[in-house]
Amino acid sequence: MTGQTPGQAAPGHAQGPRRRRDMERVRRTPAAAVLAVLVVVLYAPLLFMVLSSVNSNPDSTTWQGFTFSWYRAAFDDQALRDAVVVSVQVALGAATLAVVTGTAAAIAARHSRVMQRLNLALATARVGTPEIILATGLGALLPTIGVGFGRVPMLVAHTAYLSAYVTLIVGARAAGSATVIEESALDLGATPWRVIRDVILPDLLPAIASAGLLALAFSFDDVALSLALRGADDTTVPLYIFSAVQRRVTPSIHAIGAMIIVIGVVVFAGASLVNRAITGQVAGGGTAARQERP
Amino acid sequence: MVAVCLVPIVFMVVRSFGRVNAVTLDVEISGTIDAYRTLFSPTYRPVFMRSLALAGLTVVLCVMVGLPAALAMSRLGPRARTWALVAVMMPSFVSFSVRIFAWQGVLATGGPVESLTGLQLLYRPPAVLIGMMTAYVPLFILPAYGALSRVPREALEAASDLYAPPRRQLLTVTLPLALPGIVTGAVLVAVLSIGEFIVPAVLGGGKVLLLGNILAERGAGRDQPLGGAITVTMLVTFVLAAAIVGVVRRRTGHHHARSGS
Repeated sequence: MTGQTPGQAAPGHAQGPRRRRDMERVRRTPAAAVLAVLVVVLYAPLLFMVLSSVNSNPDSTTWQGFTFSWYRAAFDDQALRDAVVVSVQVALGAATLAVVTGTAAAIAARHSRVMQRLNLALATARVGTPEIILATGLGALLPTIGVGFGRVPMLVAHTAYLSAYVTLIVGARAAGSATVIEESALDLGATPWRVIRDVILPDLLPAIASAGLLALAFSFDDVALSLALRGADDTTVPLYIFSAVQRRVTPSIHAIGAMIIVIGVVVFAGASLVNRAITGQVAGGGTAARQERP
Repeated sequence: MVAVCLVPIVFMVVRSFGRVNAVTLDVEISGTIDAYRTLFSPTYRPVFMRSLALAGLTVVLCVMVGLPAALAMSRLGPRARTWALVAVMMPSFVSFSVRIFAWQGVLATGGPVESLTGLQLLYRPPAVLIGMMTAYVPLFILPAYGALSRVPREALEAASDLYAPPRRQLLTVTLPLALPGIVTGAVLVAVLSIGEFIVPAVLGGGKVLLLGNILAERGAGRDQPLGGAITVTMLVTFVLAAAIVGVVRRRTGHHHARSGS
């Protein structure tokens, strides 16, 4: 561990002047300095990438004026456009399937404590197992049982992995939700399907939305599963970047990276706002959901 | 969906007790432990040790950087906390491979780090460590911050009333109470970094060979028994890691129960 961070642990007195004094002390601790430096270190490379993407100097060692030509080159790149199509297809499909299966598992398990525990344990084990293990296993297994590689195996593998995340997030919400309302609805003559549609699903909606967004981002970002299971023409965007980076970096990759950074930031902001609107919390579900992301 | 995840892993576990027939190139399952011998043989031992060392160093770095950061966050006011949490977590929403690739630009020859400090880091171990740390430190901070911010104020006030200096409060009250969150974060980072293969490939220039690289490149193809042995080794590591978290949680639980009675 680093320096023992001799900071004043701010006591929780609410009096104005005292509280402000505590805050001042907090700001000057070494721990606060570490936090500040960390934030800079997290954002500096992303900022540099965005700057490189509009720098006329292809090596981006010095600033040589503003240009959009790397973006034009990226948009003109047929291989990249194909990669975007593959990524979107797989991500949309896998996220949809993962949300449906993961939510179904969470709803089915919610009445029995044993099932709920088993379901959560299995989902945790799946999330805890690194993708590379699953990817290698599937890559070795499929040829021996006569299944070829391609978009469908990719889709199934993504779904299998992501539905565990969905089960964890939606299951956490389902475990805490009110069954009293459900029972009242049943007592009042609602059919089980109607209860699921009108009572359970609306209650789970924030969790389902967070989980779906997470699954989408995750699938779009995946390298290990896609790399192991893709067919000849199934290059996704991360695979495109991954292979291009290993060969030779062209400035148009900076443009792709910058676009992905901007999309990531916009999605994060959007998710936080939606979450806030639905639950009244700030960046709650989305952020918590993200914690298991490798 | 559980089966889709489970069957391939069982398949690899079975394969780990096999041997590749040199003529037909088929895997023959004969109950041999040759693959494990290979994995721990002088040829692969460096790879194995390197992977362990990288995971270990990543955990140490994440704790060194993440613990003070989480502590600082837990001491902020309610609004500032939210902003700090958003600031730390937002990069995780940007594609992992893009984040790692971004470091390549910063650390490259002629890049900002080299022109400012004269250090050529890219394709060397420090670059891999920087990439690993920045990629995983938010995952450490989240549970650690959660635990630190749940340390009851009363405990700190009691310590303060008993004239414990701030440093002593931190070491004897705050950190022990937050230990489950800190250990969860550390284990999460350890588990993720031992299977890592993207960071070494992009920032280590493919020269830093790790277990994850071997698994990704050969585990499914011509070296299935070795791939199986790596899979088993990793799984055993994870079970041990989960056990550590379980033990620490239970201990702290007991501690709470005792101090409560």
